[in-house]
Amino acid sequence: MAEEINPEDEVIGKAIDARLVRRLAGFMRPHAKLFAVSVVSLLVVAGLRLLGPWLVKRAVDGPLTVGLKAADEATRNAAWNDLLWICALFTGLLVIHFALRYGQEIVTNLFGQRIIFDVRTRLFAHLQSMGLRFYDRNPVGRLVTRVTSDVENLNELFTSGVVTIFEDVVTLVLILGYITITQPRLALFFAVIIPVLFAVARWFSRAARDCYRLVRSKIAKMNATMQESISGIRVIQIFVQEKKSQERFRQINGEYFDANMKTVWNYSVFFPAIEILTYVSQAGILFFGGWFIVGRSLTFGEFLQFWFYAKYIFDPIKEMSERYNVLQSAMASSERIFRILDTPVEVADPAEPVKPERLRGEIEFRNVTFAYRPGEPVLQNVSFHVKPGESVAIVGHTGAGKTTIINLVSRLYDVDEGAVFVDGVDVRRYPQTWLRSQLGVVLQDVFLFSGTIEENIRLGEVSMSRGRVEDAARTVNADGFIRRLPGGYEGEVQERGATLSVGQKQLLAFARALAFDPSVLVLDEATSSVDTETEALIQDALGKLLRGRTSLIIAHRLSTIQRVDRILVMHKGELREMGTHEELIAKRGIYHRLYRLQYDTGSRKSAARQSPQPAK
Amino acid sequence: MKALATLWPYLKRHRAALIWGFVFVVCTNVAQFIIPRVLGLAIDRLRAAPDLGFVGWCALGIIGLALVRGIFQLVMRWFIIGASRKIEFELRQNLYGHLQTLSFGYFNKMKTGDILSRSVSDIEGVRMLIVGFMYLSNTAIALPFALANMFQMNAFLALVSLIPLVLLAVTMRLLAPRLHEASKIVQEQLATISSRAQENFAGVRVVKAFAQEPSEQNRFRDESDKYVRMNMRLARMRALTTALIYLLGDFGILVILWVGGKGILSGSFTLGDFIAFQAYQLMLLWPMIAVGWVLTLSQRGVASMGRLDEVLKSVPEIQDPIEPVPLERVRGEIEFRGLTFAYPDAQPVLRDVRLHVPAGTTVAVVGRTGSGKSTLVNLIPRLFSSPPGTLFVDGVDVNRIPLAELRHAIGYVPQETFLFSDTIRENIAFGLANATDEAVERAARQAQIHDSIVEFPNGYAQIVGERGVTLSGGQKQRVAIARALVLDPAILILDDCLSAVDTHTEEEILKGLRDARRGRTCFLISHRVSTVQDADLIVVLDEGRVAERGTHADLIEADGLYADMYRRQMLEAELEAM
Ligand SMILES: Nc1ncnc2c1ncn2[C@@H]1O[C@H](COP(=O)(O)OP(=O)(O)OP(=O)(O)O)[C@@H](O)[C@H]1O
Ligand SMILES: Nc1ncnc2c1ncn2[C@@H]1O[C@H](COP(=O)(O)OP(=O)(O)OP(=O)(O)O)[C@@H](O)[C@H]1O
Ligand SMILES: [Mg+2]
Ligand SMILES: [Mg+2]
Repeated sequence: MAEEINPEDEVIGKAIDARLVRRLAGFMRPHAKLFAVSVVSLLVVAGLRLLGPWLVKRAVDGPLTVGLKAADEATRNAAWNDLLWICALFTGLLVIHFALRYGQEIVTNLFGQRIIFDVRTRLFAHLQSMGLRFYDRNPVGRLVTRVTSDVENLNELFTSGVVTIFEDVVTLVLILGYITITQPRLALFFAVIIPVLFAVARWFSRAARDCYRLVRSKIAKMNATMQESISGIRVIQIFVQEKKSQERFRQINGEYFDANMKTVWNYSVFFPAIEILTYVSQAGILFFGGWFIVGRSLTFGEFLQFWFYAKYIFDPIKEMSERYNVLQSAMASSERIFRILDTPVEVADPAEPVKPERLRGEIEFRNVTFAYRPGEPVLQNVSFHVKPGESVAIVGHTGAGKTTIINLVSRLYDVDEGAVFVDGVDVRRYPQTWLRSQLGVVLQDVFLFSGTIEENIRLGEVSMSRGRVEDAARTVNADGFIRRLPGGYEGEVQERGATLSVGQKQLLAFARALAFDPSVLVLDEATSSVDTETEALIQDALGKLLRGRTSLIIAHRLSTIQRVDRILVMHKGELREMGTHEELIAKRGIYHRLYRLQYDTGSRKSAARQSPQPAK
Repeated sequence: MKALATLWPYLKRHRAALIWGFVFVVCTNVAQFIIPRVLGLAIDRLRAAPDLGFVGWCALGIIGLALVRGIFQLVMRWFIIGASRKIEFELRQNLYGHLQTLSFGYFNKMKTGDILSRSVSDIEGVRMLIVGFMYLSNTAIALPFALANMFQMNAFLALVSLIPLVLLAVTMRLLAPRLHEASKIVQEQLATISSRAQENFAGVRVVKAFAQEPSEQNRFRDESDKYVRMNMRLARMRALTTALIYLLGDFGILVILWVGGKGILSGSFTLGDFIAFQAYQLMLLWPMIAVGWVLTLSQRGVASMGRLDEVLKSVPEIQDPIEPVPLERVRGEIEFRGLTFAYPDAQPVLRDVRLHVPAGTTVAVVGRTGSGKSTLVNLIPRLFSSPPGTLFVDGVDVNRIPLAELRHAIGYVPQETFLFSDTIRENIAFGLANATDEAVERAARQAQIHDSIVEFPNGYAQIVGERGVTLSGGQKQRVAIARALVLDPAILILDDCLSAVDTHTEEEILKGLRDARRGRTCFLISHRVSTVQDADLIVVLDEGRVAERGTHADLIEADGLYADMYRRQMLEAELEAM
């Protein structure tokens, strides 16, 4: 029941891929200043923090040692004064560190957010320019993931990944450098323990990565199952399949649980392991420190300082695996994002577009051959000519290629051979959006957006007046039922229009096309779910509106097309007949047969059985 | 707390694991808080005399304690987090199961995304309640332990070093709700972006056909821009929180340095105590942060539980009757007795419908868009509830027939086809537990889809895409017809299910159905005269009332709405010829 998870969604590549980093740098360049500020302040912040334990050391080795040994009052007072000074310095340090860290985090986030904004809007804009072929290939869910989760992963990279890793590394280097200079022998101990830590963290991030991947794919599958069973709840209930559906869900829910338990186990082992190592290293510091103190090469202050530093080193390593995951998934995400940005635009605008005032509405197909998938032509050598102001119907069996013809007129796809001309100009020479804004199309599959009824009619055209919306609704006889809805034109359309009847939804889609005042009207089964009476009313109203405009009308119900000037009959991707109703009837071909089936009502049963075959 | 009542049985079921987990929380803390004492002891011994042996033993002691503590911690995490995952599993399974019983009307009110977020984030919220309990009890035990040790060493310094820790907890308590609020707003905005994108991609044909790309891009840009602003608000809160955590944590070091330093100078305090205090302070940092954080978490968890409860406690509108009247074998006689029906908060859609359909006959329902045809047939399988005493199947009020029994007897083809993303075979066999291949094929033949199916690369094993996108409109409808026919139902409901096929294919299907219809009661809704004219009875609905009834010939004779519709569908030329 659930959709299979596309392997592409789950690729997790290397943590750092030079090629991707270079491309990401391209997005960072416009914000280089922010980046510089962020990095510099980070260096200062990391350095400042290390000063705290150093001050503690100064205090312990200075006033605290001196004062303790001193017998006289004066020395003790001087020591107390020194201690106060150190405390005052410490206070100053805290305040500066606080302010800098606060500022640094904000700058870093701003940097990340700016980049993310650029990437997200670029990606969306590119997706908007992609042709329908692209959308035929890519499921909606996948594309949504690209503009949401994948971009979010990148955000993590910029805000918590790169920068914090940088801080951790700086801290580590500074501390190790300091220890090496001041206490080379103690540094040896760190040189032993840190690789062990890294090894554990690395082992863990491998395990964690596999789990992470597993959990993600399971949760995606679980959500898909849930989503589908909610959308299909009616079918499940009517067919009494609640039990079966629950069983299926139990299985995937169980898989998700198992994946989670693996993660729980990993963390249950990893966290204690790292903490044990932290304590081991502290014990090490205690022992070696004690040793050196005995040998007088280490002071108590230094001992305490290193004790703090050990914590500063180990805390980030605890989170290293997390960071590593962030890096990896960010790289995988950016790979997927770039793959989309690299997909060439199939249906592109011309370099020097032709853009007349308004279309007259002349349409011509010249030897058009077209295939959705290479090698499976859907239209073969189709030629016809529609004069401006003429209304033409296209009929034919299911899958004959009617919708395809319309897709080519509005250039949703580009032809393979031949050409489509509108007003004598190849459609490929118009700007796409301009061409389409001249055509009013009612698509076969009704799609309603969430929002009000009014918004569904005028779409993003904010300038369209309410009056125009209502006029369009009135023309298609939808005004009446809209007013009866709770909220009328401002009434919210439920998810996919759940509370409207199917015919009502179709009328809304029809009103939408009319509201845009198109030069050419294209109706693809626009009234298939509407009763004939309403349809007749619409046709009457359209009569006035359409005067002087070209219209292309597709219908299975022949009464829908009784007023057209000419009829094209498609059969298996070829244009087989063309002419007026009378001419086609007289021809006794495919049209005649379709016609008989629908209208020979009196002697229907016998007629159906002896229905004439298409003309040879 | 009321919300937690629902959670109680789950907690009870896993009490053993939770109690053991708690025991190990205690053990972990006992082991942990001895460590700084050992450290302090070692330092003081070192100060007094260069006794390296003792220090060595102390170091070994720390390692030993760390090992024991590590093992305790492992067991603690495994018990408590494991239990939380199990509870999560059970909760989600129950949520899903309950959703299945809720009636169709419920889903009109509730968005799919909303339900999904309950199933994911809210259940996670409730789970975090349990994990939070682990951290909280950890603090509850760590704090007295550490304090006991610290007070024993130096009561005054213990009190003083508590100040930054308490400040930390208070700060977290104050900031966490704001942080949570800000991040909720960010999440909501991301959800908005996601549904914008979702709609845009799903409706890409409309977007392109109406040249709405620029306006869509602007809207998307605005939403993204808003998202950036909200994220920055969250970032400021976060920056403040982290900076404060660092500040107060280091402030603890400072306080101990100052007060402890004074103690050392006055001789009331040893260097070992001083170091031990610093170690305790570091150790308590996280538990104190956790307090503030967990309190917010628990608030959130309770709110999540409330939202889950909303779903779990909602009573299915349509349920099995209390005193069911089982039917032996459904014959398929249907009667509407003065049925009036309205959707919630709306005018009646059907008014005083009286209709008797003898078993085995075919009734066609025609009428204007929105006249209530789909509503009428949806009442038969009780997708919506009809008022008592108005709708009868085999003479029994539908409200009193066991739901499963009633629905098993009905083959239903909805007006809007819904297919599952599964193979064609599974889609056709959907309603049958163990359908044979022959049965599936027979149904496919009757629905005139068999020939198309065998032309697919994988035949019956072909997977149909999301909602069946890889099939043409006509193919989708025919698969849905086969899905109903395979049940061999006593009652067949076809709701305008031939609208997307041409008249030729329609004729073929009707021919197939003519055999299939034999002996069944059949409801046929259509706008085409050619589809309905053979029916035993044609009913014309007008604004929810039965306006006309009779056979094709009767109604032509009566010269009413139906005759009108008939005439409209005839072409001028044909009329002249008659
Ligand atoms: N996006 C697509 N990708 C691949 N094949 C397609 C696509 N759309 C349509 N087809 C195929 O192209 C052929 C013609 O489809 P088209 O939609 O033009 O038929 P039609 O005449 O409009 O049929 P109908 O009456 O069912 O609407 C069909 O065989 C169909 O399966
Ligand atoms: N779930 C619902 N909640 C509220 N109102 C609804 C719901 N479903 C339908 N309606 C309303 O009830 C009326 C009748 O709808 P119904 O779907 O029965 O019409 P229909 O006769 O099947 O129309 P069509 O020929 O367009 O399919 C319509 O006005 C519709 O808006
Ligand atoms: Mg079509
Ligand atoms: Mg309907």
